[in-house]
Amino acid sequence: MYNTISIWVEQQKQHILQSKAEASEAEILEQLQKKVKSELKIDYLVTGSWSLKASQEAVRLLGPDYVNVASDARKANDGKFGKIPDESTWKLSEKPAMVYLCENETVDGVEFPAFPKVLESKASNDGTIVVGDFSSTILSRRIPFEYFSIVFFGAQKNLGSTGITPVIVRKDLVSLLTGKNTPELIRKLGLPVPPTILDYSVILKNNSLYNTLSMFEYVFSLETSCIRA
Amino acid sequence: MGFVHNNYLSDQRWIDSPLLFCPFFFLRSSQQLFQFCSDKSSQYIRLHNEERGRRLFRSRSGSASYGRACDCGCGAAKLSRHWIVSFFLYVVRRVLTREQFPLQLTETDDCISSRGVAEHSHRSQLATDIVNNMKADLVSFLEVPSTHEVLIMQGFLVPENPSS
Repeated sequence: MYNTISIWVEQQKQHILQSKAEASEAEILEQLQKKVKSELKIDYLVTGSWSLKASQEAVRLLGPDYVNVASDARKANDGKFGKIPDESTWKLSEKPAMVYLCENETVDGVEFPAFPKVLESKASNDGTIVVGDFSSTILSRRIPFEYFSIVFFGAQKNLGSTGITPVIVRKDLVSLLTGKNTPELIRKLGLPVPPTILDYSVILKNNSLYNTLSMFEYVFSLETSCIRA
Repeated sequence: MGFVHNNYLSDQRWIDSPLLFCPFFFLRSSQQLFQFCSDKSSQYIRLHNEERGRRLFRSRSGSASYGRACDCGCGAAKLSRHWIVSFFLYVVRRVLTREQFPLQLTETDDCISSRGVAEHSHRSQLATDIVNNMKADLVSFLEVPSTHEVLIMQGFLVPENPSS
């Protein structure tokens, strides 16, 4: 969420500069503040316990005004998880900063059969950032990277032990995080600034070796080499 | 916590039952106490560890009986009559073992069989190679296009807790 919020702010800043190239910093800040209040939304598709926790954490860090639970599977299944509501019932934001979904909810046994059709146009045409949690699915099915901007998975399911999270992110999005003024601007807008260790641009710049790699990464590498062999 | 890798040779146990066969090795050994007990036809060794003696006779000797005591009454186990052959085989085995041991350690990547730990810096080539190989494997397995980059993170993303 930290990174996607920063990316969204940078994208909005570039839109403002495109419409008015000589805008001062104060003007840019003012317009951004208006956009944050009126347009900033992150959508969550709650289909199980993990996506529910993710949405609750977003509310905790960002505030309820900016988090939109576009779909809650409990409402369509008598208060329990176990089904994915029909896409026509989803209440997606018009231009969300991010849409999050958990591709496979292990606890409740819920899995998206395919990439949601309602998100295909948003992902490919509107540039909406679609984030997918593939922890329980990794290496078991093909991932449509043409629609997903960010794919992450904990290695503990199929590729090692807990303590390591590979993230596959679009390169053009990470490049938006390298601006020097971004943390300062984020703070002025009243939005959370990501810790350095969770900043995609820092991780990319240091080839995932900003600090000493843990033994879990070594275990992960052994797993992948065994699979390759 | 650093990345650890076993790269030290383990101590090889020099105390071995075949030492008992050779009086010269016996005398040089500082970790076991032996005594020769000789009578008219054979030599005997008092075993500091009687268990070793029993295993020794059972595995090596076809003629010597298990656990037969020395006739002189010293309490030591009776030595095999073929101790010269056994000694020769022992020497050959130890030489081969000593020569092969370093080679085994370098030829295998089995860190479990080796001893010792070490921490490798994140700036070392080893750490870089581990990460690069990991990324290359993931790109290959998942058919990641060139538009995407693979990042390896130690912390959980927020607010997305990877499901487990």
